[in-house]
This record gives sequence, C-alpha cells and structure tokens, in this order.
Amino acid sequence: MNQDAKKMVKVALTLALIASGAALIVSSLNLFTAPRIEANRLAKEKSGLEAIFAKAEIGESSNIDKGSLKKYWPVVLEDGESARIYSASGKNGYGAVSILIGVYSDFTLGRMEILENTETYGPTLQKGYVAPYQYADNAEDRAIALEDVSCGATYGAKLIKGMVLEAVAHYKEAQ
Amino acid sequence: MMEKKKSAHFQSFVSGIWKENPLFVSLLGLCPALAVTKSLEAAFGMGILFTIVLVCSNVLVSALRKVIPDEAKTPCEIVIIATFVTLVKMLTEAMLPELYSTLGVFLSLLVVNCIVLGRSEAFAVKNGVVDSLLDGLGNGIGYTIAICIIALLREVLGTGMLTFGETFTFLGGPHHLYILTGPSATPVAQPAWDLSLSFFQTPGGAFLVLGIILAVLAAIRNCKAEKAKVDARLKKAAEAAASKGNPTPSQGGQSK
Repeated sequence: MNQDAKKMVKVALTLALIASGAALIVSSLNLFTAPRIEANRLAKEKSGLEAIFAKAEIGESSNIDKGSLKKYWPVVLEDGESARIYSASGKNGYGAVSILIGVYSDFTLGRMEILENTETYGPTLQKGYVAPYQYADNAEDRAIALEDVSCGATYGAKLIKGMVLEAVAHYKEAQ
Repeated sequence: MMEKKKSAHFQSFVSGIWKENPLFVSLLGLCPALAVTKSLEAAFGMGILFTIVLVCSNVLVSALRKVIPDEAKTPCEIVIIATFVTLVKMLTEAMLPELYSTLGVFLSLLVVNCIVLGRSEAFAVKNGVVDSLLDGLGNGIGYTIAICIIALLREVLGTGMLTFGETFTFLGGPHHLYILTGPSATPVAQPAWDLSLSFFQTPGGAFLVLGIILAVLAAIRNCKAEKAKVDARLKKAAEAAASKGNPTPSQGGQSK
C-alpha cells in the first residue's frame, strides 16, 4: 500500500471512529431525554387544554391532518354547551408556531394557547399579537384581537390567523 | 518553572475574560449576542450553555490533537462541536424547556459559532488539555459577561423592568423589578408611567447598545494609552535631566 492510500485510510478511519463515538453518545443520551421531552410536551398540552376551557370536560382527541390542523378535542362546557379545541401547527420564513385554539359551537372564538413558537421574532409576536388575544375576555374582543396586529408581529399574526380560520371552517363543516 | 507554568495557565484563563474578550474586543459571535439579549435570563442561559460547549469541545479537541491527522482536523472539530451542541440541546429541552424555546434556533447555531470553532482551531489544537480548558472557560465567562451586559441594558431600556422566573421557571414567578416603568395589572395593560423605549428590544436597538458599549470601551482604552504615553514622556524627560546633572525645577527651588 503506497503512502497516499495509507493516509486516506487513516483519515477515513479517524472520521469514522469519531462519528461513531458521537452517534453512540447522542443515542445513549436520547434514551434518557426522549421520554422526558415527550412528558414535557404532554404536560404543556394538558395545561393548555385546561387553560382554554377551564372546568370543562375534555374528550378523547381525533386526528385531522388537514392543512395546518393536526387534531381536535370535543369539549362539554360547564353549562352543557359543546365546543372544540383544535391543535394546529404552521411555518413561515421565520420559524414555526403550534397553537391550541378553542372554538364555541356558535363558531365564536375561545382562548388560544401557544404550545411552541420558534419564530426569530417570537417574543414580538407574543407581545404584539398573542397577549392581547389571550387577555381579551369575551368572544367579541377576541375577534377584534384576531384582526389587530402590532408592527413587528405581522407575519406570525398572519400565520396564526390562518390557522384559527381553518379551525373555525373545519368546525362549521362538521356541523 | 512551576511559577511560570501557573502564570501561563492563569494568562490563558484571564485573557478571554477581558483583554481578548471574544465579543467586545474580537467582535465574534455577534449573531446570538444580538438575538438572545432581549432578556437577562435568556442571555445568562445562553452564556452558560455556550461555556459548556466551548470548554468540552476545547478539551476533547486538545486531547485528540495528536491522534487526528492534519487532513481531517477541521471535519473532526466540527463533528466534536456538533456532538456537544446536540447533547446540550437535548439536555436543555428535557430539563429547561422554557430556556430551550426562548433560545430557539440560536442554540443549534452554536455548531457554526465562530468563537467555538475559532478557539478550537487557534488554541486547542496547539495547546495542552489544561490550557485549553482554561482558555475555553475564560472565553466562555467573557462572552457570558458581555452578553449579560448587553441584555441588562436592552431589557431595562426596552421594557423598563427586569423579569426573573420566566425562562428559569424553577425560580418561581415571573418576578418583575420595575425600573423605568410602573407596574401594570396585565402584560397588555398600560402602566401608570412608562419611560421605556421598545426600540431597544429590536435588532436595531441591540446594535445601538453594542455600539455604545464598544465606544465607551474604546474611550477607556484610548485614555489609558494616552496616559501611558504621557507617563513615558515624563519619565524619559526626568531621566534625561538626571543624566545631565541638571536639577529639576522643584529640586532647583529647594537648593536655593
């Protein structure tokens, strides 16, 4: 074997060894962290569902996978009225947003909870669009907040508004 | 000999904190420094994670420097750094999910951070494990201090207050320390008084704050350099006078 070939084998072996070592360490840690990450996700989802319709009876989820909608939960409210909570995820050029949105049976909007917001302008979106929506305490104010966007949150707001309207349309179709 | 070694170790550690601060002196790692400095908590979290990645990658690159062939050095360094970033990312997502979602994409981007790559390429491949560890620690602490200073100014000027317990939820909270604004009932309600400028929360505000800090540091350095020049000139003049045997004006006064 000539010198160049030896060198190439050495480089290839070193890279292969380091990459295998890295893969082994990452996969070992994944065994420990994956269940915890999933538990965190479920806990966040559960607290989000409870925050949208407090004291309501939340049923089993059904998968949708239509557009940005992922699944929905049927809800029976305290006064016996029915409603739904939709889970939706979407992306734009700045990142991804996952939300839970409550819709009443008369198609007015309930509360909204953000599950994940990886937009680079995430905090601006939270302050300029999501927070006014979350603090609106009736369906009419929520409908206004859905249209009202502060400067800097425009793209994220467009994404969220699209997902909310999809959820309402899906509920209308189902009835 | 021992003393010299100790002083070299100390030098590796200290230079990264102040004299060769990666952010304020070398202007490296600007992207995360501008992006995650909206809040002091997020900046501190980023600084700690950055330091962990830098120290671990520096130590491993230094330990393997004699084993890795020259041709494979850069790809191996990138694999090592990417591994540590992935480990840190997975642990953060599992243990501190709020910090993970606050840092977002900038945590993954540590793989291509020029300070991490630069320190391993410029220092760790040429020096021993202890020196590389201290170099990583010094640069990590220097970077953490730098981004915390920017974040402190941006958060206070941009929101009028400091918030704790929002990213590090184990602190319980959120707790607000109102500085330039009055308390408000909800995050969307208008406070009684508000002197904050939301501009400082934008990328433009980050550049302005960084520019002001760099200007102040440059002014301090210029003052020190001027003072050193004047001191050297006075010393030279005094030495010249002493060698000629001429008494200085004050000495002359005394002799009269």
